[in-house]
Amino acid sequence: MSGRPTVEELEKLVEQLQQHNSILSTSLEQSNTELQALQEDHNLLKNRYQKDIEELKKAQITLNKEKEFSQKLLDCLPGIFYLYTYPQLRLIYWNKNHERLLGFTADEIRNRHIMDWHVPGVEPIVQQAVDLVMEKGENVLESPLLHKNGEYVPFLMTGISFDTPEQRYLMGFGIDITDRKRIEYALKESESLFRLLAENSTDIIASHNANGEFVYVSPSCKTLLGYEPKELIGRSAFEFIHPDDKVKIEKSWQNVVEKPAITTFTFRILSKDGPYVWFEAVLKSIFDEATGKLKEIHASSRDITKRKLNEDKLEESETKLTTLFNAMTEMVVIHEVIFDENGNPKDYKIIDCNKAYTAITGIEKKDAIGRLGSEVYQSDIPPYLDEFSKVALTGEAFEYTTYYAPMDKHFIISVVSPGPNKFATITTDITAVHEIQEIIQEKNKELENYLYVASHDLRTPLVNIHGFSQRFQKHIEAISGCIEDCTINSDKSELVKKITSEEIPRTLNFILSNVSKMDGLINGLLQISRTGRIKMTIKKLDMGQLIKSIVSGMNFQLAEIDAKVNIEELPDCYGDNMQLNQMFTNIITNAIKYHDKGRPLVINISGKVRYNKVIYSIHDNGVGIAPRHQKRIWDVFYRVDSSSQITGEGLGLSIAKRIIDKHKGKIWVESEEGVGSTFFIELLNTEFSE
Amino acid sequence: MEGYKELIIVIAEDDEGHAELIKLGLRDSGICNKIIRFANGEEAWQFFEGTSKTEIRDKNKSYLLLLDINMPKMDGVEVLRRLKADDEFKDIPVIMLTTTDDPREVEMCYKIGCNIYITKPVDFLKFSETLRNLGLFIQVVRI
Repeated sequence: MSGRPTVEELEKLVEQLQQHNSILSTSLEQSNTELQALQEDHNLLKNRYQKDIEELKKAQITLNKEKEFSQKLLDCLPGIFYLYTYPQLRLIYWNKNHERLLGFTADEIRNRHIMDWHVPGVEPIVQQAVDLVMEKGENVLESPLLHKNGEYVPFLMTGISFDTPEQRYLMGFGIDITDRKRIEYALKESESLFRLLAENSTDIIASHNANGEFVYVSPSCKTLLGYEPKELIGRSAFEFIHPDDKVKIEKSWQNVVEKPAITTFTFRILSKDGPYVWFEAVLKSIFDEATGKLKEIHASSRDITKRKLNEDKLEESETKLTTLFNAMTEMVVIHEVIFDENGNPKDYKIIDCNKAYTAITGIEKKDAIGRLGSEVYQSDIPPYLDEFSKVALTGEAFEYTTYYAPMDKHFIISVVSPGPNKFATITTDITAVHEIQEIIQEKNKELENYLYVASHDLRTPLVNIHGFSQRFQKHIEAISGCIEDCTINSDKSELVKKITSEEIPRTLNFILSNVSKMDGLINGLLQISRTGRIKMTIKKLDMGQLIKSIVSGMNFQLAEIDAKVNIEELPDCYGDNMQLNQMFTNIITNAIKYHDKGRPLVINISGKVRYNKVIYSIHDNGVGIAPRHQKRIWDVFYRVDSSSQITGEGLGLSIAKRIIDKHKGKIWVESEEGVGSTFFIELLNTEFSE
Repeated sequence: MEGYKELIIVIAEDDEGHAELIKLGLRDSGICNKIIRFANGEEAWQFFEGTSKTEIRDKNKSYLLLLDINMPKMDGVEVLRRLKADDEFKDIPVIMLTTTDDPREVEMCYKIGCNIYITKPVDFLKFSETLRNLGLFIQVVRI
């Protein structure tokens, strides 16, 4: 359009302007309203911000508190807490225990690389564990960590990933597991020890469940039974047991399964090759302490086939012995000593006895076995308790002869100890023998009496021969005197002189010297008969004292030949003082008489105790006795060398022997010609009667 | 000597030889007292007791008895026992003579009361000495 606007156009324009104006005024109004609204909004916002700031401030305080709380929480944890950056793996946050447990200060720890804690070489494992944490969110690792002192401490550690938009983190917690490790190690050790034992044992070591199935079995089952362990595991042991033994075993098995117990079974078990073999098993049931339930049954088994065979043999020999035992005519009784509260023997119990026991004593076996000696023999103190208990306690056997008045019987009792506190008596009834002995003794006495009477009667004429010969001697002396005085003028005078002063005195000397000899012999016989007839007084003798007094009585003879006598400490014995004095005197006198002139005589006298006996020995280094004489030296009037210058009637040893016989003792000699002799004398050290 | 009782020696000995030897021995050693001999204990006892038919003890005289032990009828020990049990005879000295020296016999005789115990054969010189001393002692005591 060009030129001047028309009215129309103007009108239109005004209209337009008016329109605009109205729009503008509306807009203005609107703007004003909006401004007002804005103003209101502004006020509202202003208020709100103010509120927010306050809240923010509050939140800040709370946050700080929470931070302190979590710090404290971390510090009071028993293990170590750590926060590492990822992937840098530098430590940026930790708790106090981290410093304490590993010994490093905060400055030393800050920014420490994770690998610096670990044993060199395990880095790949650690890295893998760390990556797994970051990938999956969490993970656990067991690894030793370096302590400041250079040692590594085993730790169990957790890891959790934690992410912020800017940074990824790894945090976690670790505990010291030194103790657990130690226990684990010990357990492993003992387990390996058990394995070692089980695997190498010659016995079969097995573990069973309640049904008897093998849970474990040691390899020795191969050598003992032929099975491999894997052939047995899972199978019941009862499958292999001999049917005859099964019932018995199953019964006992039940007991073991029910409560903790140890039982020993003997049974036959099937070997892989076929035959059954004898086994002995010790079973032990193990129960869980907490639950009280059966855990397992341990079994240790061994092959006892050989033992079984031996047992069979033993049984056979036992049968033989029992037969013998009961067939014996001697009573055999086995006892056990019973002690009082102070440990002193007070009684004995009869454990076993044979048939002869009943036959001789009249006591039935059933009334004796298991009962006390005091009951069976009806006495407060059972017979011979002292003697018996001594044997049971010392184990030294001992034998004695005794008269048991309640039964009017004489016994020889041998006591032996078959085991600790036990003794067996083997008793022989010698009542009959004793009766014979008594008769012999009686006869002996009679003989001794004859001997006495005979020698006495022999002596009477001898006294006459002696006396009248002496008178004859006197008369002939007188006659020779007369003949000297009055000279006979005869051819016969020389002859008479010769007869009276030479022939007759010579004859008389023969008569007299033979009378002395005969007198000596008769005296000897008298002495011997006296030794037999004399009544002894048996009492305890101090042998040391006795020997010393004998030796000091011989001091003169001993000094004369420069002899030495050594007397050891001598045990006491029982006997007749006078007789034993004579006996020892005779032996020592012989040692002096028969000393070797080539060396100074040494006599050693010693003694030792042999339970109820004492053995004295008298050793000399004299001339000794040749073997051919040794048996005869005890005979009356026997002298080794009758032509010897040594005086004697040959009575000393035969009297010694008689004295020892009367003392129920023994005397013997060991001798070597040219070396010396030892006389042994055995006497009793307990009281006895003739 | 006035006042002295004559001492008579009595021998009780069954063996004739022994009795003879004792007598001779006593004489040889100068003892001349009267000697009476009996062949067994019973006779000797009867002599002292006064029941003997042959010879009876004279109460005015002193006696010394030599007594053998082994004799028939009554042995010496019995004679000794009877004498010593009797107040009238218990002071008579008794010498036991025997062939044995059994210590128990010796002990028994001393217990009963014999004065001396002598074993045969005897040394007569020593024997006589003992006798004389004993006899004189007895006589002195008897005054």
